[in-house]
Amino acid sequence: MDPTSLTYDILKEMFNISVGKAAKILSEITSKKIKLDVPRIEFLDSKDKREVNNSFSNIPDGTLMLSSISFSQKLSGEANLIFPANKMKSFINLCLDEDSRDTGDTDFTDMDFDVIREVGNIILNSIVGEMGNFLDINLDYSLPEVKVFAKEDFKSDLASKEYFYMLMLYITFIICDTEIEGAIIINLKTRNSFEELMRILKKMEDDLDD
Amino acid sequence: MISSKFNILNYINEGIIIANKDLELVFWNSRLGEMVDLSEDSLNKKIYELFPKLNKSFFIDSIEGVLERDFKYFYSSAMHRNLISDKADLNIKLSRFEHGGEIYLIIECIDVTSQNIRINQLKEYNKDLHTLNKRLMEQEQEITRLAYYDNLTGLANRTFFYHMAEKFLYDAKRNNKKIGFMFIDIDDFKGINDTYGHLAGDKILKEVSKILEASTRLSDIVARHGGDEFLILLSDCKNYKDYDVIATRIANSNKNIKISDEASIEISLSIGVSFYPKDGKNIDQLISKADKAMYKVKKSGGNKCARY
Repeated sequence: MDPTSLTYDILKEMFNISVGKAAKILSEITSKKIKLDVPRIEFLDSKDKREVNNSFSNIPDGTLMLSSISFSQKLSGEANLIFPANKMKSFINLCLDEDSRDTGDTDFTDMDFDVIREVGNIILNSIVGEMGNFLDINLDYSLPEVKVFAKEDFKSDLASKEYFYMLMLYITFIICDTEIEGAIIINLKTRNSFEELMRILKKMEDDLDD
Repeated sequence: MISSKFNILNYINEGIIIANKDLELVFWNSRLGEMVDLSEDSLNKKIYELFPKLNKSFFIDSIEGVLERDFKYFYSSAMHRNLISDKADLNIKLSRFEHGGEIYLIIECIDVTSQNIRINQLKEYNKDLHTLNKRLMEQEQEITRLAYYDNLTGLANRTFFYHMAEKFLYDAKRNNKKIGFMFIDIDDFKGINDTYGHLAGDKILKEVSKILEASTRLSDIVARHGGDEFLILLSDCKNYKDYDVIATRIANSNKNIKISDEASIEISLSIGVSFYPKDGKNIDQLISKADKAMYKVKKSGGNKCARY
């Protein structure tokens, strides 16, 4: 069962509602104007290596910062929020009202990781929570883990997996005048999860048609 | 600390708050008791009353999400100061659990005070190092500038000119190129200094520097030789007549220099030119020949450019 343009529209709508809610919470916490937007979504299947490589080339290069949560029950998998590490450092400094020009500091402290864990938790909670809500399924999930890693390592880690079905959400994060482009990768662990998602979406499409 | 079915939680090293689904406090462990002033009277009170800083819409929504939809939340001490305790920096985790058929809210408080103090100390240390490093780099740049550039005009000084000239000469020798040297002197500069003062003299030197820089190519080097004398290295000349273009540009430039609101002075320049390989084989010879040519111009009334 392949996704149709209506499938993309439904998912885009769903994810934009989720990130909108997350942006509202983050704006309130930081007392700064924060906007989140999901302009594009892609389905990626490990069968189509070229498509996967094309999509990964759109992810910013260099060192990335990743927050990930696992979810299980009717759908099982992992949701990963990915942003370029250097931009996240500026974002953290904006959140904490610190000026990195004073120090030239680009390393991450445990406090910085905690900030990203909190931000990742809010965004991924909204995404996965809303997904469960929208699709009317219960999802059990964890608090995020935060890691810093090179894009190439992430790619080769993925390449080593035999099968995967992924939803790639391109996400734009605007805080004050700083724009950060990243991605959310929802990695469905099994073919069954992917088919279950498609079945629910197909049913929604049919209901919309009726 | 209150005796409760949750007493086992007194053995863990993080603060624990447990509330029922109506958000009334039912338990806190001994570790939390060290960080927050609670008493038996606190039992069954609403958590928003006991911890007023939690009474914000995003916490209220989070707690609702935890109880109703089993969401889990993490709040960092870096972003939220003194949420639960004024005595410690706490990272907060919100989740729920079920016990005896009831749903409970559990707030885990992880003390990161020492870690935050250490990080802030390191940040301060890093900031001091950064400032010191920046100052040292600025000083180094200033030392380089003073060593190679003339303070008044900003042009290369004699040391830098000789240093670069050696390299150009080496290249010219290897590749059979011609290079030229212009020796420039301001006519009657002593008279200007005596009549209008040293400040006016300095102004003239700065303006002449600008004229020379504007008249030369990017690949040429303009330097202050000392006093009112300047040097120009003409790199890679195709033939010995090439200096004419530069000399004409200098001659045609506006040399009426304003030295104050009321007064301006028309200056003129005497210029002598020499060339490698025709006039000499080393820098001293070539500059000396250009100087001699300039001296000849000066003796014949100045305001001219002549080849050796």
